[in-house]
Amino acid sequence: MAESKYVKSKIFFEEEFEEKLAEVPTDPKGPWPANDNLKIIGKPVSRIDGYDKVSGTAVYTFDINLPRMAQARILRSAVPHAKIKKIDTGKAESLPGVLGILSSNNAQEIKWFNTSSLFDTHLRYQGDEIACVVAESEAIALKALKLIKIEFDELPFTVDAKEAMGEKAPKIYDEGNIQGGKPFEYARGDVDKAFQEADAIVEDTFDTQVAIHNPTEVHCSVVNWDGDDLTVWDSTQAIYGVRDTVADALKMPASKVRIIKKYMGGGFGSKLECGKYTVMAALLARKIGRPVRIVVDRKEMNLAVGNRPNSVQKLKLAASKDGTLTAISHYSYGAIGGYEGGAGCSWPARQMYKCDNVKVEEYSVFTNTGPTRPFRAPGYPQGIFALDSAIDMLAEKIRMNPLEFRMKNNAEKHPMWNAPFTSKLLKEAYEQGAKAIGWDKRNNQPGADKGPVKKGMGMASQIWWGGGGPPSHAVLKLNRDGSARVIAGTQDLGTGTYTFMAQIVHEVLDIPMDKIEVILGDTAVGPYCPSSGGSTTAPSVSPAVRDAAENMKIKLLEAAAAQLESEKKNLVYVNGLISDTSNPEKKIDIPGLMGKMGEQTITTTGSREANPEGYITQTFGAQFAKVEVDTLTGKIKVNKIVAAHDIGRVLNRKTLDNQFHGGIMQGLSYALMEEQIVDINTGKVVNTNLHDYKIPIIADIPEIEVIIVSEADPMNSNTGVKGCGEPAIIPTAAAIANAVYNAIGVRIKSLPMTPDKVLMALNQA
Amino acid sequence: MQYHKPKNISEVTELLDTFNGSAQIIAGGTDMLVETRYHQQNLKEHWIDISEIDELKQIHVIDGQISIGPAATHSDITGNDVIKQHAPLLAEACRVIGSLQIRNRGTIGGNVCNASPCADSIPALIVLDAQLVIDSAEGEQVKPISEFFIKPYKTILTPGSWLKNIRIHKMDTEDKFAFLKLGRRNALAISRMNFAVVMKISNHIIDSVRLAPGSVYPIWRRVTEAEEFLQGKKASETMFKEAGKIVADSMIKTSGRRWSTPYKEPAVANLTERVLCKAVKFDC
Ligand SMILES: Cc1cc2nc3c(=O)[nH]c(=O)nc-3n(C[C@H](O)[C@H](O)[C@H](O)COP(=O)(O)OP(=O)(O)OC[C@H]3O[C@@H](n4cnc5c(N)ncnc54)[C@H](O)[C@@H]3O)c2cc1C
Repeated sequence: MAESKYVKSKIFFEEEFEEKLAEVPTDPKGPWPANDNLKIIGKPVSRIDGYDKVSGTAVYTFDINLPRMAQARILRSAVPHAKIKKIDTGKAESLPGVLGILSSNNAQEIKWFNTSSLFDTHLRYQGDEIACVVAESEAIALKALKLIKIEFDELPFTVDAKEAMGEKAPKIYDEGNIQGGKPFEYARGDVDKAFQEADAIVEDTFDTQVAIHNPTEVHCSVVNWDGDDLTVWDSTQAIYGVRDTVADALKMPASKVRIIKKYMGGGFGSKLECGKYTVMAALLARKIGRPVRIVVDRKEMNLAVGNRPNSVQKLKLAASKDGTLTAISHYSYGAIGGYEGGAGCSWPARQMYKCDNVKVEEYSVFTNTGPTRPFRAPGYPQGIFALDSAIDMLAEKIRMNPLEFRMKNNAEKHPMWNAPFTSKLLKEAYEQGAKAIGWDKRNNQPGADKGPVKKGMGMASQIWWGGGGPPSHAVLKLNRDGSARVIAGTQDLGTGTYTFMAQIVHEVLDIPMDKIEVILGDTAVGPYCPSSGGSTTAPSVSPAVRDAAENMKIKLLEAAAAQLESEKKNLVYVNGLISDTSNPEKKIDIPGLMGKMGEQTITTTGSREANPEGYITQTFGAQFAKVEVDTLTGKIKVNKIVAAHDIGRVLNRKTLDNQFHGGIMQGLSYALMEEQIVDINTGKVVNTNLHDYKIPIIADIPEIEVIIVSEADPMNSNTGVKGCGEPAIIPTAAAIANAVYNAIGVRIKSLPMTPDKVLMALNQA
Repeated sequence: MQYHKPKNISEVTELLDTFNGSAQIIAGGTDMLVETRYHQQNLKEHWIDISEIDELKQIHVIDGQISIGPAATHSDITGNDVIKQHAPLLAEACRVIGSLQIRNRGTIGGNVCNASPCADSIPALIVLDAQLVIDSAEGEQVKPISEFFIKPYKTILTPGSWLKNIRIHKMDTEDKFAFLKLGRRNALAISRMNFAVVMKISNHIIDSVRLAPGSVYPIWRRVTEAEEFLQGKKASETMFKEAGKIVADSMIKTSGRRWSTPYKEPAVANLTERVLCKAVKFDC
């Protein structure tokens, strides 16, 4: 087995850079050739877990049913801001079938968020946890919740970020409602001067709504104690993160906590961290000596497990006559709810375009609303919506085609650090996307269409991280019969991780796909891999799997050389058969070779290489939308989206298309429908179910064409993969907004672009 | 909750009578089962399931009128030959309800008796002048649909009474008609507004028009103001536009200005124009 070394590696995860000490291989395997020269990589391969899922035999966390399992449910605050005086659980406890109740009355103090605890008596939003009941059935648990009596003092509340920033607003924390006490600031160049010297300036305010992740599978955990050993089945994007949080909370060794997650119905970021519910279930299970299942229902999901924060963005952009973008000023604020989070959305303004003068000031504001959590490209869909709307406005002002304007302001190097990219094919994405949508047929005169239904075309750019990095490891076990098992401590959220791992093993070792088993999502067996966020799973894990498979090949060749008494350099590995090129008589297959070795299974490990020093790896792209707007009703119909992106190498064309289709649907939904509505008079959310919180159905989905302009990132890893889950959603809303403007000649600056807003904007125009 | 499954019509009336106000009909359950989650207090203790009583699902012509059993599902209605031929407007309205699964379970009787402002079949039944046959232990009575609703979610049905049958006149084959629904998405969306219209036109002149919107007035009614305006006029986009304004004005007169008015006022006017255009196949 190849030796490893340790390096310091920077990787960008969700919203920040993290530097990690990471074990990386000493013998990095070179890049693969183009996909055309590979057997299975990049092909449209059906999911290996497809049968399980389609037939209904796939067991999700929600489906796990252990003998004597009890059911737990959580009592949550019905008001936005209060201080608990007394919790009376007497009546609930005496309800037949109730097995235990946990609240601040009896729970040990467990720290949660920096400043709070598992059961905090200061309730900061509608949905904050008060108590947890475990009972023989879910129905009994729910009944018991209603019998718990809470005495509390209601406190004045604030649910609006702007109001919360003001002097008079009720304080959620003593230090004030602005997280960190001050805004995040960034500046380069001299913005004021650039505005003075500009030929054209646009200035406007954009706002975006609170959106909820709403993955299909609800948040849930099943916990089981066996003596001091705790097993948790959890619907999570981060098995190792959950393990460590649970072990810390319960003050037990991490070695005694095992987290398992096999199949999952989505997360979109809302399952990136361990939920309080998991720890509550573990405490209750220990108390009653039985396994416990805890479920967070759809209403709770719409209140308490995260959201994409809203934003108000004031943007000012300047350009010179020749189309050079000379200045960007971005001021924004957004509500992060009752606990720490992030409402920043200025990354696109800082790095999407080449621009010498940039100034950013952004506020994350505590409010008495549900918590934020990273949501598929946190900050980017909202940031690009505002930025790329303003870019179109600016291009129009200097009478330049918005596509040409973007091309002209493409950044060859990273505009913040002046560092080169490992690869950047944004221009190619612009060109190929424009061609596919028929950009040359776009209206020159916005709103010029005759008749009440007007058509338009628009576009927007995409930038994101997604390069992944170490540490990330895989283990490969090859069996005597030539079948293999590949194991990694990552998790498949439904994105296709199982399948691409099997493809890689097949590609390297020619083992048939149906003889490759993939084990994921189990901290007891999987070597460490990072959590699944930031579009980093495939770029971090795929190189480790390839490394393990290549190491296996090396091992087999060495063993064969000894067995055949051949020189290693004469041996070739083709379709699982090793033969000596200098002597055709000398050949051996895997079962034959392993029979001689006396080991029934041989094992190799593989690791992700370090990222190249001094380079930035990012994903890029552009989306183009064709829409029609019914000016009588204000309804927007999206007819087509073309998505052209540079996401490095495609591992599997089918699961890649799944990601893009899903991201674009979610982006369209964000553009036109989704919006959490809080009643400012009561501080309560009025739409906590999927009837009132609208997401599109298949009849609303336009034709989607996905074009991948990249072959493989030449420097980033041995697979050259960049992530694609988040890039998919980033430019959709902005592209639709620009298309709407092109159709009706009136700009909608607020998401979602509902019929009401469109009609009112038309009437005011 | 107790569940009962009567075998025939008379058992339904008997059961309702026996439980004396603590029972209600369940047909497809597509409204009631949602209620169990959100407004359980509105539901009665005894549920009387009529969804499998064959005679309550029948659709046929009796004495020149179309008789529709209340337990006929929206799919039954859209697929029925009598309806397709003689009441195509009703088929159009039922076709846009929910999704296929909802249409396969949800019934016309449930849609009418639930009396939600966004019910799609009701405007169509209003312009078709439906007569509702109401049954109770005291006997049967027939009421025009215009007298059936008291306010949203409230009908004239008393605790022991139920909707046994719906009757409509056959439409003339020359009738111009249209149904239009505005929802937040393309299926599985309740109507923010809907419109049903039937017109008789000869030589481009409107002889008569019957127009009923949903979610526009506090309770369903035909817009006689607009109907009278159009009668005797030549069918044209200009006239239809005028009619749209009349409907919007009358909405504001009856309901006052509300938070939704800035949107609804132009939308109601525009959609009225559009449903009229659609009926005569103008392009607007
Ligand atoms: C996802 C979804 C989408 C929907 N979309 C639409 C839509 O687009 N348009 C629309 O109009 N509706 C829609 N609905 C509402 C519903 O499906 C319809 O109103 C349906 O017609 C109700 O019929 P049901 O048989 O299911 O009623 P039930 O739920 O069985 O009953 C509804 C009410 O009527 C009473 N009732 C039923 N039958 C009788 C009777 N014969 N006599 C007296 N009382 C009676 C019941 O007691 C109850 O109060 C939707 C519902 C869902 C869940």
